[in-house]
Amino acid sequence: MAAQRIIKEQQAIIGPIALMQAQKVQGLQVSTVDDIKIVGAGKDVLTNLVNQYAKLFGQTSIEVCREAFQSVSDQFKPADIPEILKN
Amino acid sequence: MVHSDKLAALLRLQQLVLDSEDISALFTTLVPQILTEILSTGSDYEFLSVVFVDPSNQLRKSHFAEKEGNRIEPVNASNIFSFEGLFQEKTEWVNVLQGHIAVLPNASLIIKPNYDRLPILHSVTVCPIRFVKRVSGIMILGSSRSPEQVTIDELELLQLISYLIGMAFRLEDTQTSITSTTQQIYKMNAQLHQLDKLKDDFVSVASHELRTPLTAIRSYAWMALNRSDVIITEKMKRYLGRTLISTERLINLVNDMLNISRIESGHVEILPQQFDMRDLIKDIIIEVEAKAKERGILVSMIDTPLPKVFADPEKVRQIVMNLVGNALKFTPPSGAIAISFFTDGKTVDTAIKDSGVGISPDDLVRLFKKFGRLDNSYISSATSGGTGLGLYICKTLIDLLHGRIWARSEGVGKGSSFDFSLPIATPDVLANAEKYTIKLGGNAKVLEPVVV
Repeated sequence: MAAQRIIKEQQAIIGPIALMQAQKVQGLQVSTVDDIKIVGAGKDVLTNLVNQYAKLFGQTSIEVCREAFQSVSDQFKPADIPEILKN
Repeated sequence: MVHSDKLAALLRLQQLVLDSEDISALFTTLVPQILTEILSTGSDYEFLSVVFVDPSNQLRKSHFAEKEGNRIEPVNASNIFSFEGLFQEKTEWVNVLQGHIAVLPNASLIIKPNYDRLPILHSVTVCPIRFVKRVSGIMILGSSRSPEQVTIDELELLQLISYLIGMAFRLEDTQTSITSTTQQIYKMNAQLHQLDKLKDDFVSVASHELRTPLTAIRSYAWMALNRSDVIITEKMKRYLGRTLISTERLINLVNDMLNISRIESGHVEILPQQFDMRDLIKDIIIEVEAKAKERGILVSMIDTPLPKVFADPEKVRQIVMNLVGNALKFTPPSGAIAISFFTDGKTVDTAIKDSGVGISPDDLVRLFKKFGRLDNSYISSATSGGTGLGLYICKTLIDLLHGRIWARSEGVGKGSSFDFSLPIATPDVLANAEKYTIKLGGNAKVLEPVVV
């Protein structure tokens, strides 16, 4: 799951803050990093998640999200990939 | 004395600053709101602008809001002001720099002729904005009234508003610094994370690439040394023996490096369960029996009744194999290794005692550090086949198991004892099993086995 990949990668860099920030994202229900549910349009939720990290940590955090997303990108139709995650 | 309507306006503006969630966009909403509040107190102004400069007096940023009928509109003010005229009016400018408000009769001193409202402006009020004991910007208000019509009350309010703007600027500046620092730290962390991944990849690839040829060298060296149909000289036997030991040492080193990389990068799971230490030790004694016999060393266990421990048996096995392996390496032929237990009701202590070369008291403290082997001479390491990483791995693993490890020796030549403690599976410990568990799902890696 893309959101999980992104959160885990952010967690490796910033620790528990990654989960706390993900919990603030609208449309994302996060209990633990292994228990994440997307409520609503997945594309928008992923965009919100990336923006949540970008707001605090800037452009580098977007690059980190893109890299994490790459490992699962083949499961997405091109139209479903958020613009912010496209290289 | 500030009138109550002006005080109310000031409090509303203060609230806007305090309630702002996005400080970086604060001035975009604050500047039009200031003009709205000033107009609501009965003072008439055409525009309000806030201009900030950096310490070298270069324009940092500006905001501009204009009265448009009953509305207040934010306007792009990049080409409205020119301050050379103001700087030439030295008295007025010095007053502003000293923190005083200047009400200028000639608007064209600071407003360019292309501003369409210039003809109707009969005064421009310039109010300094102070930040950290210096003027870091100015608030400019243009009015169709003459300077004489601007009241003291108004100026008092403008002075208070300028303090508020200074405070907001300070908030914004602080937040910008924090954001910038946070982003720099994030970037560095991301780079470190990337390097860590590269290191893991390198260790993994290098170890696999190294192990294959090393295993081949070891096999051929062993065959050359032990095949009875080939006659080799004593000298050649010695050389082949060295080759075999050195190759084994390299294979062990590669395995230890792999294990350390996996433990330190958090890729090792700890899945504790209740088990009897005696069963595990018995298994290990059987496993090392052949090697011990080959070296003429007796390995025994002193059996005493014991409660079960709560730990990951695979990791404990790794620790014991390391300690018994060390005892075998550093105990001369005809020596003995005895494994005994002790319990205080909270932990089970396991002691692996040998009659080997012993350790001086000064050296005991270095044992559990990376490459902490005491005698680093080539002959010693080549003979022992040790890597200097085994005890460090034991210590790291025992920490993950919430245990403790230590060494005892009465000195060189007097043998040594390596002891470790593990928590007993008490109801309290079992109720907090999560504290003792590290689950990683798909990211877990198993440790390379210890070869004795």
